[in-house]
Amino acid sequence: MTGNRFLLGLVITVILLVSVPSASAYTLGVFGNANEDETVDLKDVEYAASVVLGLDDQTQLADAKCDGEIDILDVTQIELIMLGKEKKLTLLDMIDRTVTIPRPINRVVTISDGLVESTMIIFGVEDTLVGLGSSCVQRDFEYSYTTNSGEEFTYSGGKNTAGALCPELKDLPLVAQSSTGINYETIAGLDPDIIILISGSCTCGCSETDEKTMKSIEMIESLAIPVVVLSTPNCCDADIGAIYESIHILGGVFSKWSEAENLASILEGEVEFIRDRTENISDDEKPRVLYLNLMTLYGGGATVGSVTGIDMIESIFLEDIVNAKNAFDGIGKPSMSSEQILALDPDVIMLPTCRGYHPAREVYEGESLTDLQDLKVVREKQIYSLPWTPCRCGERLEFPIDLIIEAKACYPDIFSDIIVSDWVIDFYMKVYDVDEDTAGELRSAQWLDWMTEEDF
Amino acid sequence: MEKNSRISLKKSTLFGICFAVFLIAFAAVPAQAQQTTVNLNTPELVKGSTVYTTVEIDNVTDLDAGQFDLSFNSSVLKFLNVEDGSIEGTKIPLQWRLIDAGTVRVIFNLEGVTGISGSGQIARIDFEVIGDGKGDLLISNGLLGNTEANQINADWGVTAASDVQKSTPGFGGVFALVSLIAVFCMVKFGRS
Repeated sequence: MTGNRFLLGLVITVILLVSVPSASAYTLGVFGNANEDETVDLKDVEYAASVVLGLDDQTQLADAKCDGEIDILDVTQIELIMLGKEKKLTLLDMIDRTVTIPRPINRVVTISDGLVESTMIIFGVEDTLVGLGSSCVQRDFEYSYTTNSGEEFTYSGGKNTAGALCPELKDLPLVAQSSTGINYETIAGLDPDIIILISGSCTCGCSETDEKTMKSIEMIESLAIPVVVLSTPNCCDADIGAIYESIHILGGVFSKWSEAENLASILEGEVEFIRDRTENISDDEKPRVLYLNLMTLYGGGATVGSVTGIDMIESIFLEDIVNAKNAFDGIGKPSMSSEQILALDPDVIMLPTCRGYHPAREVYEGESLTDLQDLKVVREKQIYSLPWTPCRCGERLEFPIDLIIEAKACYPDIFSDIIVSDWVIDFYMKVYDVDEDTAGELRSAQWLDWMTEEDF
Repeated sequence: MEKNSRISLKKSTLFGICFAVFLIAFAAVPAQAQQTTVNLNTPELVKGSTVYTTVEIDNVTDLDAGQFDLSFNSSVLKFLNVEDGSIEGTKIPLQWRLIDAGTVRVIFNLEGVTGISGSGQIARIDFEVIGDGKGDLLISNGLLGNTEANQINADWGVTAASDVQKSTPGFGGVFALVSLIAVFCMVKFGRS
């Protein structure tokens, strides 16, 4: 009987171990990634050689030359890909299209809200950018509010981190904006070697649900310009691996394999750091967190803003990685009145920036939000502003900053050794390989200096 | 007078043709030198002995990788081993596998993608002669790749028979014969 229980326990353990997906369980869709893991490296050379010898199974991506045959020429092609010396590269993009891109790439147009541009800056290939698809990468932002006592506060100098790191992006022509369609004439005039488009960005919705995105891709390809489509986690079943996969594909596009590996590892490491500390928290210990998307210019109407439902990516990350609980168990992003928010009575409120920037003190003392000032979280000062992330339709490289703010806000004891204002500086320095002063500028550009003021 | 002129014209024409043949024969030499060839060399098979079959390569440029299958009569030859080759002093690192009782697949991939040019030996394949009859050694599925992962055009047709080998005039023999005839004609028509 005891033996049977032991065996049953063993079987259940094995099943659980097998069924829990790894955070980075994805295949990099580059023809040359013979062993179909996350990158192209020497293991692929060995695997492809092994396939030619008949020792290993053929894989689709072992056909590095994409000519329908797996032979010794594919082994050389993989070596060339690793060295960035290949004449062309064929890849499966994130919506499973086979795209062949030329070498070298000298002219790039992006349709992204910052993820691609930031990654290109890290790779040192930002000078190949000739056009952008989002004005949010270029703009300087400003936001102000008035307190109950009539004092006015203004926040200025808010920037997309890509724009903060590379001011020259301001001078690039826009081929699209979130509120307008893509200008194909502008694209044709820029004569790019490649277009990198993010499905799920503010300009192009998720390709699975937005027909316009697929038509846009077809239109661009009719101009004989290869389009590499990346995707955000909100278009990929909330799989955080979509971010890492995007980085790896960009690494392939620009032949920056090790840089991509390093960047993805840093982000993955931060996520796992938080997950490791919070994974054993029981349900009854989890604080109820409300994402309150305050209206940009709230003037005292019935709707204060919207809240984020459990099907939204922010909530999924909150519950899966930070291991807290969404105070709103509905779906979508419904608008809410002050009364509805008071009824939810959250333990912690997060202020995302999808409807403009909102510092916590705006809720504590803003003259238009007096109705919310009866909330328990106001009394307990448990409201936290998330990093300024303009046009946040998809995740950026800075998403771990949101997570660490949420983690520290929810579990101050568990993260008592983490000073988030310093952690953020280290994060920028690691991710962008910048000095401390530049990291400080990035923190200011994301309007996170409140953390220093509040010793957070 | 007119007859002599005609004869003289005829001789000059013949001399010219012979000279042209001579020139063409020489002009063909450099073109022939560019062709990459792969040869399988096998010594005479003696039952009970070990034979070392070599795969030789000539005139290759920017070689980076290659593969071939070597089939043999397994009732006559017992496969023993594959030894790395060498081209212009550069080792050719081989990997091999017996894909069936009578076929060994050999592949190689030089380190990096700098490539090697010249002539040498790709591989040595060792057999023990265990029976009587023909060895039936034959290379197939040969493929050479250059440093840009493109196929190198090579003549893989030269496969040495492993039983009684009949000598056939190669290019050198034909070239020598043509040249000799051309020189003979030039001397003869030049004198008369």
